[in-house]
Amino acid sequence: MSTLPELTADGYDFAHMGKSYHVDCIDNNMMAEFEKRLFAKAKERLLAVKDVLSSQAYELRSTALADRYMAGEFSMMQQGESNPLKDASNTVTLFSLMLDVDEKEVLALLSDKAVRAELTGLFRCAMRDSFPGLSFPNDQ
Amino acid sequence: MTNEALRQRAIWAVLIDKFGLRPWEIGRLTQRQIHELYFHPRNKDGTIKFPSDAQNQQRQVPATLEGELAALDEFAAFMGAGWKEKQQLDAAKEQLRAKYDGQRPDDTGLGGTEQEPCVCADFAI
Repeated sequence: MSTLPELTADGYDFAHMGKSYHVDCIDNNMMAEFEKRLFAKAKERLLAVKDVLSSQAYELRSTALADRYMAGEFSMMQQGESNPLKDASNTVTLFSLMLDVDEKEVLALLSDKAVRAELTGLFRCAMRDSFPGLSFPNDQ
Repeated sequence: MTNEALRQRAIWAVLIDKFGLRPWEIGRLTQRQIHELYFHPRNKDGTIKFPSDAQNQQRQVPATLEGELAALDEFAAFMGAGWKEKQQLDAAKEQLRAKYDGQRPDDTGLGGTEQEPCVCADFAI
């Protein structure tokens, strides 16, 4: 058990190919931004199929999507299977927020095996510092 | 609205009501900071709960002359040359011995003074 990093929650530094990164802890602002990004992505997906839907069907789906957002279904605090972080693409969205870079850069970083191992460790540390009682599947 | 969303609203309301935080200040907190600092376990009178006395006692070694002399040697080694000077160290050890000598009449826990030795005085070390 660490003593102070989780209380200061100031994150971790990381460097790769001459560029410095900072892995931020997840505060409430970041959690809110995460929800907004997922909502924006869902709207984009719906918009992409607008042409093949009737105006009534589009309107219905659009309203249902807004209702889901308002109900907090995109929150990373959702319990169990409905937690959006069960979806790998949403995890990339979270990592992009934690690193404050776009998702393409996150994917580029994670494609390097050695970097992925180091970065995953830092993400875990930052996530542990951010949430009480958090554990990961392969924790000992 | 999901239960979790309702719970989050209640937590924010407590932070505003009891701790005077503003929403933008709560926004900069992690869930862990909220849980472990603002919602730290409290006693019945509302004061912050510290690790129990029982846990503290487990960590403490009962004080004895030998134990304190060993700790003094350890401390002297840690402090370096200034404390290693024999004169200072010996003086500190003498003070410790004097302290323990002065306690002898009460070692038994049965009371007694120099004027009126306690019933177990004959067996005192």
